[in-house]
Amino acid sequence: MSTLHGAQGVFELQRSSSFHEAKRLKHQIAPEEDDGTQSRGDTPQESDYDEEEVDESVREDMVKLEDTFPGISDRFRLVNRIGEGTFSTVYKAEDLHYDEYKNDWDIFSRAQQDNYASPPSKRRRVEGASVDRKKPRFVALKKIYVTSSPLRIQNELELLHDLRGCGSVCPLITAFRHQDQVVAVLPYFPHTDFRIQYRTFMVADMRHYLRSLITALNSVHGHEILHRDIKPTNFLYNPDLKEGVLVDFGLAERQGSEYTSPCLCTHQSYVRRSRILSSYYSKNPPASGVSAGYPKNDSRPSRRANRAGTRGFRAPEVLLKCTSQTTKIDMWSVGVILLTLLGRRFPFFNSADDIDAMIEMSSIFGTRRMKTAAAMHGQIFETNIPTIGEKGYSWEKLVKWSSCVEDLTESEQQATRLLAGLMELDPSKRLSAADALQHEFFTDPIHHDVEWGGNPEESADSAEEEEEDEADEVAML
Amino acid sequence: MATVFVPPSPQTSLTMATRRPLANVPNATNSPHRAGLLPAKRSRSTHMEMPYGQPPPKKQVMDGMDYETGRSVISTTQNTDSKLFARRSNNATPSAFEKKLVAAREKERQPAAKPVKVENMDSIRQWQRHYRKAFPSFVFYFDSMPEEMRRKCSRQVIALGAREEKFFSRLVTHVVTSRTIPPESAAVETTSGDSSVQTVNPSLLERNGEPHIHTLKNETRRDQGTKDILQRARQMGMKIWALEKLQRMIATINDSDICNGQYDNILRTKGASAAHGKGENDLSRVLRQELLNGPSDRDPLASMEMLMFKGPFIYIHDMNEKTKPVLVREYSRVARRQDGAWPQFRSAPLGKCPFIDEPPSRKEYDRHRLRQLQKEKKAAAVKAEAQPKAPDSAPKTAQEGQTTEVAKPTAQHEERVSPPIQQDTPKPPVDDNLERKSSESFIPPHFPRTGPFYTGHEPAASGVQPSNMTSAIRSQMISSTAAAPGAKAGLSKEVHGLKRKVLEKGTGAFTAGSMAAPQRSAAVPMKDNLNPPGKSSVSHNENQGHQDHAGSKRTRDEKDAQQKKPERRRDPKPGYCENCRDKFDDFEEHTLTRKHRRFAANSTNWAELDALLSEIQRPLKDEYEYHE
Repeated sequence: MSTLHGAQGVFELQRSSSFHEAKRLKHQIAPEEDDGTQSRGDTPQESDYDEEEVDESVREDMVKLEDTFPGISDRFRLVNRIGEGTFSTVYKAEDLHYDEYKNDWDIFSRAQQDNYASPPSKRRRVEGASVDRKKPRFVALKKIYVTSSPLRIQNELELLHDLRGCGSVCPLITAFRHQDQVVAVLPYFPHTDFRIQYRTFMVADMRHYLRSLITALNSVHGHEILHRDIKPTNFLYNPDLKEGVLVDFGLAERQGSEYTSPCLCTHQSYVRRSRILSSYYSKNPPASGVSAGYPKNDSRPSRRANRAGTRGFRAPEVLLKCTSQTTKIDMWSVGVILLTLLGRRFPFFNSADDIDAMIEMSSIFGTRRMKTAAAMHGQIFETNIPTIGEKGYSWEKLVKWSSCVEDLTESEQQATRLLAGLMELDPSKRLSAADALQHEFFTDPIHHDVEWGGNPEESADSAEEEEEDEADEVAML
Repeated sequence: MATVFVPPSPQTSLTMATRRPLANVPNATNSPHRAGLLPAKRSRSTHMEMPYGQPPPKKQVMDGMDYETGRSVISTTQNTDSKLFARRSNNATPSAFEKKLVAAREKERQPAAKPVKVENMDSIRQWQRHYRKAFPSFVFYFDSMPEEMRRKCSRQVIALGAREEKFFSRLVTHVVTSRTIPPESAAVETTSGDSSVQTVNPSLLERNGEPHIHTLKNETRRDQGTKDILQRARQMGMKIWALEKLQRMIATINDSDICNGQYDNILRTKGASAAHGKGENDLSRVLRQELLNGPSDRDPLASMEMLMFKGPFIYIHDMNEKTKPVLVREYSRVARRQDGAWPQFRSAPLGKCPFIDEPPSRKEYDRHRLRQLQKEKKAAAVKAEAQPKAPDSAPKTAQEGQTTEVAKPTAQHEERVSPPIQQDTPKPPVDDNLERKSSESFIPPHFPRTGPFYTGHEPAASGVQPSNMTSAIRSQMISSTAAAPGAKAGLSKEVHGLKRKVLEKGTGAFTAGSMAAPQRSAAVPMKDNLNPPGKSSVSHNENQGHQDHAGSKRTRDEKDAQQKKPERRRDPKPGYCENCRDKFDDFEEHTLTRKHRRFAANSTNWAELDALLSEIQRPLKDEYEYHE
């Protein structure tokens, strides 16, 4: 982390005052913390909020947890609920015996301290035990619902345990069980809500964000683990530190663990070609060139594949039910995040369901590329939807259109080139995390940035529907 | 699989006695004795359903031609009965066993498909050559096999030049069975008196004009007395192959990746006959594939009734039609494509999802009007707030009756949200110049960064209703204070409070004329936009009534008394317990059930997890360790 300090001058965020205001729209996961970017008068208010405005039901839930989980209140003081998902609830809690433990995981302590220290020059302070003792140490307690199977819980914890020590991956401090209740102890990481960040991010900010995220994925993928749910809400980014942590491995899996029969895409291209040539469809092409209909009462088995993930962030091969998904699915999701940042639209894809997702994707890529992408996985793509063109659009055009500018800056163009490598339909051609880190965007950055000041009215205006993202089918943590 | 093998029982003789017409006997036309070595009867092709009087697909025309070349007689013997039969068997989902077969075959193909070393390939090719030569001398008898599978295997072996005997006889060289193969010793033991096998030669019978004798297939086996056919086969020194083995062998012999692609290429480079040219090869492969796979595989769709596309559709399906389409959805035809109900790339206001049609015209409309009626701005703002929200309980399919959906993605995680129905009468367009843009007209709005975005370019409230109403977000935008789909589980009250605030102030902000949007620099800070959370007025809370699913009365009452109490607590949280494998309506209640408690208390359920947990105990500092 210390390496980032030097860069600060160059990449110092230039925030419009709107940004500052918008900060109050705190992310639900950590609604109370200051992200440390500014230390102005509004900080105390947020701390008050933290301590005082605990929802009645949350308080009851917390009391219940303390009652039903013997010993937990000896170790932690629950402060508030900071997140709730499909399989878990996350509480902020004070770590009462912090000092008794070896806290190798705690690379955030300084950041945390900074939030409660008023001087803006945060990192100068030397961490001293005498000072620290007065400060409450916070952790995040992830209470996994008792309806989750031990196997699922084990999977998540095991993967986290395997990934210990990986930069930008949320460390697992410990976990314990009482009967069916399992609580994982995670660091409490102050971060800023993506919905506030995406409008104001300059390309330099995107670079920090993505470098941190892709670094995390590089480690995760190095362990042959698919995260499966890469999205802004699962990457807690602190713009001040220019670092984030990847959280929520509830859907993660080891690569290859779910293979049924290998997908066509695992074969060499010449094999694929011959299989496609000898396929039913090639031999019985529909008379008009396009299928005239589909089976009414279809009793054939469904194609089965893991599709866990969040709408709008699913890679094409996930939508196509590829049975041999790889870590590249995460890289697609990173691409979607970058597209969101460059296009200044969040969410970029609406994707109410997989079909909508496919149509949205197709309107960008065009039928020709979608057909090729589908064929890779043994699928025939057909559509006559009039707004889906044949050729689709280039990323540059799309980004320009999307961010409402006439021309992209050179650094935006550079970011767009990375985008093209990430949002590549063919997973084998898509950049891996390691490839991406070697992309010119990181190794030879062009610093030509024009501030893009997000509009405050707009920020406020659209925050309302962005809440929706939290409600994702798999929004966890 | 409707005709899974008939167990040897007296009833089978009844079947025979009732003398059903030939066409009732599905394999009759398949019989090699009848059709010679022209196997693969496409029994069904002439009967393909053609709903809506569509012209026959090309495929069928081709079939017709096929029949002219010599098998029309057979097809005319078909009656509807056989059609029914065939359809049944085609529609049946493959058994677990079949799936296993496929998997086994896949596994087999896997290594072969990979670029193997040339030597390796050579040995496989040699093996192929050997068996190709040997196969024509083989006579197969299929034992204990589902009818459909038997027919398929029959086609396959016949395609390789072998023969199938419908009845067990001395002629048989190979018995293929799906049962477990008895050990050799067992066969010896049972070798007793009648070592001569008394079977009728079915081909003789058939020539005598008794084709339907085929139903005897299993009957004859029964006639063998109590002795199992596999044991007899053993006695008679026949080869007994497991069905899997046959499948594997056939797959490998036919592996086009070895023999068609590389193999032929290598032959050619070795200067082998030019007759193996690529084009010819492709054709012959297609033909052979047909022989191999026969009607059911060749046309898996033929037996199924088709729903014809009438409007715009998206259809992604398996190239071999072995599985259900991955996705298919049809939309109703629209005069102007921008009115289509599918997601379209539109010029949404900056920051917003481009695939969401500019919501609620209503909102824009109100905004617009607000601007005009500045004096009444407060009242108007409230109105925008209080606009009746569209009901969100309409089922998806009811949504304007527009989308037909099949093969709905079945992800457990997917939370489909019913879109609201647009019931309100469309408002007149605010400005006729402002047309919605669809993705085709996807022209980047030509704004310099400094220009206000909204002015004149916001997709205006064309009263024409809605495109993308399938979206959860959409419904969010319409009823801006409504809970997000997962809100009951997710958002804290504070967040709701924020949302409401945001909306109110956001709306108000327009009136202040601050709509001029993204400025390159010095955007006007709207400090007052955001009130600290938790101060939302009661009237805003009223809106939350929309979120209440059950017990709204109670909630509302309580809300008045105690604003901070979220409705979440009043809603029993339904879900699924992975441990009890039970669905439940109320989370709290379920966790107290005896079943669940028993699971929770049984430490064997948790042994593995505990082992992991012990590994991730938090290390104490040394000094504390000692005092512990």
